[in-house]
Amino acid sequence: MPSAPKPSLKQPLSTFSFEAIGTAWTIEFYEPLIDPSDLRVLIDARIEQFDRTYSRFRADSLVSHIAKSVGTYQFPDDADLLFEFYKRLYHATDGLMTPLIGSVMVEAGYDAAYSLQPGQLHQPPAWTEAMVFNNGTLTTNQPILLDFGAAGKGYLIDILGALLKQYGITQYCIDAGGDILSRGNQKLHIGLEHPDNIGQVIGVAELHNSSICGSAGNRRTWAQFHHTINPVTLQSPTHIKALWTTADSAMLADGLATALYFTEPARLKQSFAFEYAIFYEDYSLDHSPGLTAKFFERTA
Amino acid sequence: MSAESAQRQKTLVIVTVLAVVVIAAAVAFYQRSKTSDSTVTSTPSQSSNINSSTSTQSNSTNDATAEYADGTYEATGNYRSPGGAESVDVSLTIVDGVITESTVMPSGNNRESKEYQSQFVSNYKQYVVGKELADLTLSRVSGSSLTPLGFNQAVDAIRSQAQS
Repeated sequence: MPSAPKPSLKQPLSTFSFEAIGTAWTIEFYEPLIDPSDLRVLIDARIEQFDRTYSRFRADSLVSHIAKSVGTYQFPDDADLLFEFYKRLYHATDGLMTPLIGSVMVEAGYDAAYSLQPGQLHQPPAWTEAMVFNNGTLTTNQPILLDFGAAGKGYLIDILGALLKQYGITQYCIDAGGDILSRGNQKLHIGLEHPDNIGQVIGVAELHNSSICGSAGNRRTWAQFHHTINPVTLQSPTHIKALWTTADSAMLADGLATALYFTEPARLKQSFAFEYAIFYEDYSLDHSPGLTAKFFERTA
Repeated sequence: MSAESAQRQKTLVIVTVLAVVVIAAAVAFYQRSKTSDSTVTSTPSQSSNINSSTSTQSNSTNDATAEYADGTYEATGNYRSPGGAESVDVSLTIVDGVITESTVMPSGNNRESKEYQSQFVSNYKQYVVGKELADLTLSRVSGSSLTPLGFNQAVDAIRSQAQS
């Protein structure tokens, strides 16, 4: 059969590519940029500010500072939304999704030096036992290592989106290592990567003015762990091979992508507006009816 | 592929789909008759309505690999339950011989039927396979986050230690 011509997708007019916060970024612009180098400086500075606050992988961050001693710490203005979202996720997952997972990740070997040598793991403390966050101020009752790995990147994507908007840019796509926020008129076709074979996809999602985030245990994998560890069982969940979420903001999509490892989608749907696809260990797929995606089905 | 053989193959797909629906309906029916101790002996009668035909149709003439013509196939399986006539809608989309999309919509009339049908729908598992990136036109790909160089180097170092 003569293969039909592939549909052409809207092409960006310019692209920024760089590495930051431990992953590869691509920002595509579907409108002309007036001063790209000026914009690039602003983006880099904003990422640096975020990283200096929330990264547990750098010694000079606020989070690393907090881990050293009990006390009261002032966060920047952007912290309120992030803490509030984590608190909601914490409740919706019965405490399984917690920013206090940092110490567990380090014990498992996922530390700033990537030692990747698991030691003895200990359950993290309960939120209310360990800390109080109120109006930008965090008071800790014991030494804690915060980890914003589950929703922090999504939040940073949203922050950069807001920065672009301030700059007058409305047609763009920010891709941070596969977590994507697209704003504007363009419709994008996002391949959903096969976790067993990164040269393949199991489906294609259509993204229009929203965010899609993916999560799978195939890349950040060491010993018996991957990037997500259950704070009660102290093991990485294995029943899910990969999953994707779409939502209006990247923070929402990113955070829910981790929450779905711990909590049934129906329950999370009660608290958050999102769509999902879950690719289970047995190669079966479950997705919400509202997800705009097609999947390649096994026929036999 | 002649229009006639395309039609024949389309019918084949619909028959297959209907068979699935009818089997599911029969299972649900059987379970119901077991639990309610009723003395239903006959299998549910069924008839089929074919609601719509293909929405898109490839005009290939010599494709040996595609078993079914591209398009969206929809069918309704009708059956009779003790509660009355019921139906289940099934839709399949076929592209290059692969089912790319399928939905099973319960449309039960009474509460019990709705329950059995939604049980069927939730047990109807969709299994997916990978398709080569080269065969698709995509804007971007989403999966697990790309890893930093440091992480990859650490993994490589541990792997080579383990091998030495």
